[in-house]
Amino acid sequence: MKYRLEATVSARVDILNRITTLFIQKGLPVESVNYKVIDDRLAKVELICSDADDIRMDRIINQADNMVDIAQVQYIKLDK
Amino acid sequence: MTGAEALINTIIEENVDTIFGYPGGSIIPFYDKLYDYTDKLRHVLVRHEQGAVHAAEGYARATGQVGVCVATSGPGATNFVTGIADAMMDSTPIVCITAQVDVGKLGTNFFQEADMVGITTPITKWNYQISRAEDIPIVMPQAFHIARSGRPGPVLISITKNAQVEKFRYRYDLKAALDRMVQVPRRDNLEKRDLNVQKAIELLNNAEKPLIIAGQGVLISGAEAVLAECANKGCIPVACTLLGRSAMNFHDHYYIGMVGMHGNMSANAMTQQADVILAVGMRFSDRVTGNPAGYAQNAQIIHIDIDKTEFNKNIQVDLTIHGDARQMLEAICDGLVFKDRESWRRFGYEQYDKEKENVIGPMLASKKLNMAQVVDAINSHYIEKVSPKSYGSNVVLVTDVGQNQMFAARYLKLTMKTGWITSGGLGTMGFALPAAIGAKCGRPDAQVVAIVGDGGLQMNIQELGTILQNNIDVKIVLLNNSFLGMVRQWQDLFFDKRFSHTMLVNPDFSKICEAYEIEYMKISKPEELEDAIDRMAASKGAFFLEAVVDPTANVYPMIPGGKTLNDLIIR
Ligand SMILES: Cc1ncc(C[n+]2csc(CCOP(=O)(O)OP(=O)(O)O)c2C)c(N)n1
Ligand SMILES: [Mg+2]
Repeated sequence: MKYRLEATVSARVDILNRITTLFIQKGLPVESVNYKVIDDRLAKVELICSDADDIRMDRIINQADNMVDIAQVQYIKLDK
Repeated sequence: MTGAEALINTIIEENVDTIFGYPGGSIIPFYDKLYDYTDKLRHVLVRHEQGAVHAAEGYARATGQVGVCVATSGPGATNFVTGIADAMMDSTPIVCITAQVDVGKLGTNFFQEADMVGITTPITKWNYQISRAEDIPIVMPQAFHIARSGRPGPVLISITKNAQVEKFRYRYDLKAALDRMVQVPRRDNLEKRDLNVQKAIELLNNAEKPLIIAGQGVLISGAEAVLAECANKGCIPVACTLLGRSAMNFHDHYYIGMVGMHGNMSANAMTQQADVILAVGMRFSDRVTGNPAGYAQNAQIIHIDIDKTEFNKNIQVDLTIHGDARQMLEAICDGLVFKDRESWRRFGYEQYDKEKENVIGPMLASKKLNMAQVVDAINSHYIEKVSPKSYGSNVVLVTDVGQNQMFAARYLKLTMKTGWITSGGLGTMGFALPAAIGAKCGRPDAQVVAIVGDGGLQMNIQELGTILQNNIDVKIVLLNNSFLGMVRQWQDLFFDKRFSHTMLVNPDFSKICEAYEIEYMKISKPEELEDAIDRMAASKGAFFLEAVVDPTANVYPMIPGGKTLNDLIIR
């Protein structure tokens, strides 16, 4: 199933690596990533993963929510 | 001031009195300034950077404070990796500072360049590369805060050489630094949590066969007293995990032993029979659950943890309570009512008697010296004689990994005042000696005993040099079976006794101790134990007791890998 993860994150140089690692560790392929710096500290990330499930996405959200460099994170299910 | 001086000042601001480290090219500016601060910050020069991380871990776990270690860039920094992974697995708060090449040289394969932020991202709670001096007073307070808050863990700070030498106007402002963190405080759903606490109370009060399993979270949050209160108030037996072994007094009537692969029969059997389990500050590690499909199938499970990623990871539970172990236990304790559970408790005692008859008794009565006997002698002579009033306090016991660790965990009569430090999640051989050094530096008043195997000792044996140079009073008990005992045990049981590459030809440890000026004694018979431990306890300064033990004495009971808790073997 297809999901979109949306996060507000610290604009540190390696933040994309940190976020994609969450998916790579679970063997979930990432389809696309969108990244935009919004001020001197924060950036927004949108990431599409087309082959996940609710359980694994919940785990990723919990893990991401624990990460010091993530201000806010959620996911949206794109198809049924 | 320079960045290096600022770095030292931020460490002192955190009330850290001792750091562990090893110098090298890119960290020389830091060490140069450290020379001016010897009265305010003690630096213990180790013999290998891995020793520095484990020492910082030992310091952290003995004191509850953040441990700090320092290394140079490249090889110094990569030598930290095992210790950092160990701290991550066991939730140990440490800040590891490694130097890095000049910011302008990054990514050029400069001499002694290694991308430590990249290398340690999966094994740190947080890491950061400081490349400008002015970031130091912002990033360092964040590093300490992150290491110790919530579920503690390791933080790595990589600091480029230019940031150490740059001059800037230093101002320390803790609040301003923490305000700059992007992570906004999470708003937990407190209503749901309160509701779940009430549900937990109800479940426990209605249970016929309730069981509490306490993990290291109980130690970290200081919940030992309220745990004992819960047990008493509700008449609920308590088991502990390996890392949570000192969460409850061994002699408490409600304590029923350790869970897991080499746990006590009572604890494992009660897990399987229980109708309600309250798991607190533990993570259902595979070493605890055995095959998860057959784990605690009769029980409704309540799980309290500060880290919500632990919920429903290995075991599906019925109720989760996200919060600090002490606060949550206090809330639950309020609502518990006493219920007579005599037959349930008797079931536990029967299991214990069975274990005593079949395993513990024969082991302690053996004519050949074994690890259980040595550990038991440490109990009676070290814990009970040394401090009869405050039984078990002022003693810190550190173990290595392998059979020595499992015998220690099974046979030590720990109390909630006893320091208990072991490497659980990563199972890092070579942990004990440096961790004991760190523990002693953190708690100079305490008696620190390291229990090690002949394999593990030799993984960081160079740290005897640290003991020599810094005059560190640790008692080392070497359980020498001339084997990689735990691997040998698996070969014995599951690989047709084909002892492939597990026999060790060891050096003469008396000569090693002579070279390092450490008092040494060797025993090989049970009847020599009492005097040996007495002499060790009475000795001033470091002491090395080599106990030559029976290599064929395996750790039992054992739950073979992949099996359920019902399938335990006792011989
Ligand atoms: C760094 C490291 N390498 C390998 C292992 C695998 N291992 C676990 S226990 C063990 C044997 C330990 O031997 P020893 O230190 O003599 O302790 P004993 O089991 O004999 O008490 C080994 C090799 C490990 N845990 N850590
Ligand atoms: Mg051995």
